[in-house]
Amino acid sequence: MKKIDNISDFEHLFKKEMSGHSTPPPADAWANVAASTAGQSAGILSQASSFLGSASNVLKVALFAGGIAAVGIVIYTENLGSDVSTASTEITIPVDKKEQKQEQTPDLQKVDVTTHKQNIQDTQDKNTQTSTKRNIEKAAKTTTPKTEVPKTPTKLEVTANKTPAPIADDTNEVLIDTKPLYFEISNPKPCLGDKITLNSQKAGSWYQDSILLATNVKIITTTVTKKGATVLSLIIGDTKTSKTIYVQRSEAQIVSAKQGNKHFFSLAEKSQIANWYVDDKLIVTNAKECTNALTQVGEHIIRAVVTNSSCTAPTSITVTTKPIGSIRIYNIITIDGDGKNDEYDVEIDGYENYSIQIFDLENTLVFYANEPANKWNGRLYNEGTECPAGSYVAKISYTLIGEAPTTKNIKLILKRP
Amino acid sequence: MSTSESHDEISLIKACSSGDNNAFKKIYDQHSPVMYSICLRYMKNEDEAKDALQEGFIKVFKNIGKFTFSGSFEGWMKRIFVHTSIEQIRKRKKHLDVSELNSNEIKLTSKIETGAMDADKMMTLVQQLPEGYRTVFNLFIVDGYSHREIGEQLGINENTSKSQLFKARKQLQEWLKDWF
Repeated sequence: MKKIDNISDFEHLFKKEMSGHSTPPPADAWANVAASTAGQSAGILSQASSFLGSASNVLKVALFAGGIAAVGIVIYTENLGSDVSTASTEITIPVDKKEQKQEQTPDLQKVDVTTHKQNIQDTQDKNTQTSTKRNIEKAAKTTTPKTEVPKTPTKLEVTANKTPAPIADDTNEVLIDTKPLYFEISNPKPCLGDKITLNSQKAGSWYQDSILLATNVKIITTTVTKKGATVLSLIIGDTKTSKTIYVQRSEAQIVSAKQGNKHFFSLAEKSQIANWYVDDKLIVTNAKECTNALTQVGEHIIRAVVTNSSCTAPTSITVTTKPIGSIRIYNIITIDGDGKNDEYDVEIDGYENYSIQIFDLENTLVFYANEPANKWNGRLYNEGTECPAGSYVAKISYTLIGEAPTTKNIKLILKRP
Repeated sequence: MSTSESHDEISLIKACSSGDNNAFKKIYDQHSPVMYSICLRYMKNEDEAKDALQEGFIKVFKNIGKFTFSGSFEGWMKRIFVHTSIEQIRKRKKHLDVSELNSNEIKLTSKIETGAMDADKMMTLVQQLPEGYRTVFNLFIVDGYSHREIGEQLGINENTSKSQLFKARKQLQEWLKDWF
């Protein structure tokens, strides 16, 4: 029969169904009530006897007996066993205007079921989507005012408030809100990750690809997180409207080249321009290409943020600069004329800076040089007296090309024959 | 029901208030299905609903002479049956037990089939709500009482009424998962 989407639908439907709902009572229900007609007088007497205590009770019994003389309500008191008092107490019923309103004549409007059709245009792909068409049964809108009615307990005399109000029926006729459901999308051609705002005249439940976003709101902002078709739906009551949008996304591709010690980067799509970053540092804006030496040894991230195509994702590539320089350090010098390690040699290539200082263990400088070709021969500053055999410390500072300056302290042994 | 009852009904009511048993029977026949439905909605089973129905009709009889014809007769009766049902619930339990209602999970004692939702299924669901939830749910959702009025009717705090309604909704939602 009806589709229910949430608890409000259920409540709405329940109220509607229950308003005129009837269930035949068990057959013996009447018998118990009717049975009281017989033996009415005896019952009244027996009941009266239990109320002799107070004048007001006597009065009530008198009224009671008078009002229903021919009916015989006595069985009722018997059914209740010892709880006799309930039979004679006055009933107080709160006046409830809302309740009364619901008793009024149904004010039904029969309307043909609506169908909406919404053309959703799309994008460069020229896809045209037709939104879901649905035949909708819309449950009756009972617009009972929610104003609170000051209520005082009164006796059963009730002054009625005769305001006609709609009442739900249990036929298949449907009440429908004749206003079609529309909603607007702030940006029907969003790029992936864009925020879009959906806007409706009436509050309802919003869905994005069948995932509930919010209920009972008119405006909602959501982010499109999926490339391609995304279905946005609005459900108000039993009415659902859907629109399909196409989320755009294209990728850029970086092409790299190297000439000499320079790297050249450009985009595969020649029409695109971008802001170029190397290691998160902006190098050039709105350019077709980017040139960089990438001298630092290690990995470099080259990122292009395309600026003339909003749905193109930023793209990046990683370029690794290999070490150019190298260094080899020894820890021995043997002054024996055998051609091996007769001088203290540091083999270094591809460097920017180089210096060496050699100290004896008393921390006295015995040699220094700024050129690797200038090697220590074991004499004080290469000219003076022979330094004794033993341990020395060489402090070597250098910067290899593309690398950070480095200083090393090497303990070396000077041997003499 | 419109501002005036039909002539037949007016004469029935008058006859009944002067003690005509046949008139009473006619009124019973005419109105008992709707009234029984109200009782079913408030009470947890058919036996209790029957008791409430009987008691309600007895009250209708006892007080029919006080009906002033200024409002709908059916509305007047409905209020009596809502009130009687509540009275019955309260009589059965000295106090409406709110504490039992805090249990987190209440199992459906009788399963209802999924598929199309109809009045009977909804009724079955609502009947299985714990007493406090059910009473507040009925009063608020169907019979249009405010929380303040419910509080007064049931002798509970207005906020308790609100929280009972909240819990009733939550519970129904849980049971209704398959439909949503």
